[in-house]
Amino acid sequence: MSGYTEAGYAIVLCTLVSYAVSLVTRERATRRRLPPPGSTGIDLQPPRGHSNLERP
Amino acid sequence: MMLRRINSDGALRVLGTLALLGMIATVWLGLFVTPNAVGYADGTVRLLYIHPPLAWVMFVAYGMATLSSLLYLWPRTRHPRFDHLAGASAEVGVVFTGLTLVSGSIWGRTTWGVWWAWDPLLTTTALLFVLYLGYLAIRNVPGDPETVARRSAVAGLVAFLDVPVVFFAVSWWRSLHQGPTVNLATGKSYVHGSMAWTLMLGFVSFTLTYIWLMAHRYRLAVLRDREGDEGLEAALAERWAEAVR
Repeated sequence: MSGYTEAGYAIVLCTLVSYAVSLVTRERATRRRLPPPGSTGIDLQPPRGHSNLERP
Repeated sequence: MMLRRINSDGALRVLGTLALLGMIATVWLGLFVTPNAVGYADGTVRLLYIHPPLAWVMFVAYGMATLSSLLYLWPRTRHPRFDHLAGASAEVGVVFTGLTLVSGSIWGRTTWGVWWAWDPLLTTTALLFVLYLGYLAIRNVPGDPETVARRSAVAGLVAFLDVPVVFFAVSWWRSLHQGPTVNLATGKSYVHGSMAWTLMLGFVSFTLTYIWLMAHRYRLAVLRDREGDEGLEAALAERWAEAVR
């Protein structure tokens, strides 16, 4: 074979694998940064005794 | 519902495994098993098993992006999930368009003797690549999420105008590019036997790969969206704590 065909296959496969790996890595990194669903880790309720305060 | 089913971890793992096995089989059959066709430069015909499937996925991806954009623009079905889906599909489509252009260029070098020709099909495909790159750029312009989504959906519809032109370019103009290997309208195929099976396997494998990539890109978009919301909530909570102090 000429080598061009193999190069074509290599470019296509390497690009797809790199893109797939980048997607999975970015997805995992984003998931790690987020708190578990349902908990923000921050208390959004106004403290007691300040119920008349408007949220800024 | 269907989106949620495809998007589940188990389903994605099965899909990814099938796509990977299909890809390995396509490459093995394409490079080592199928015969070399008479009249082509040494081994060039083997690009046939990846180039048309790449182009096919490009059309599917842009079709999906357009459908999602329409669903977002339609007031009754407007939901951020369609905006995420459109963006995810278009991004994967751009990757496949780039690969279609590269594999086509290698085919051109070995068959026509040039890496590039200003042929109608090649030119309109290159234009499509640039149009969707522009679409992705528009998606990244900062602004109110709803405005950005609406703007992107309109840009997606405009970019799609070039898709039928690319699809019918070979029939509309006298092109250097050969006609379709498998005519979808008449069902006539120019390849037979192991070559036809390998080509079909290529179509299936690349389509599965597209669905897997698109699902992961969609999940990433949803997570980033959630991350943005969490960041906003944290900032609000911080302001609230400052006001109380």
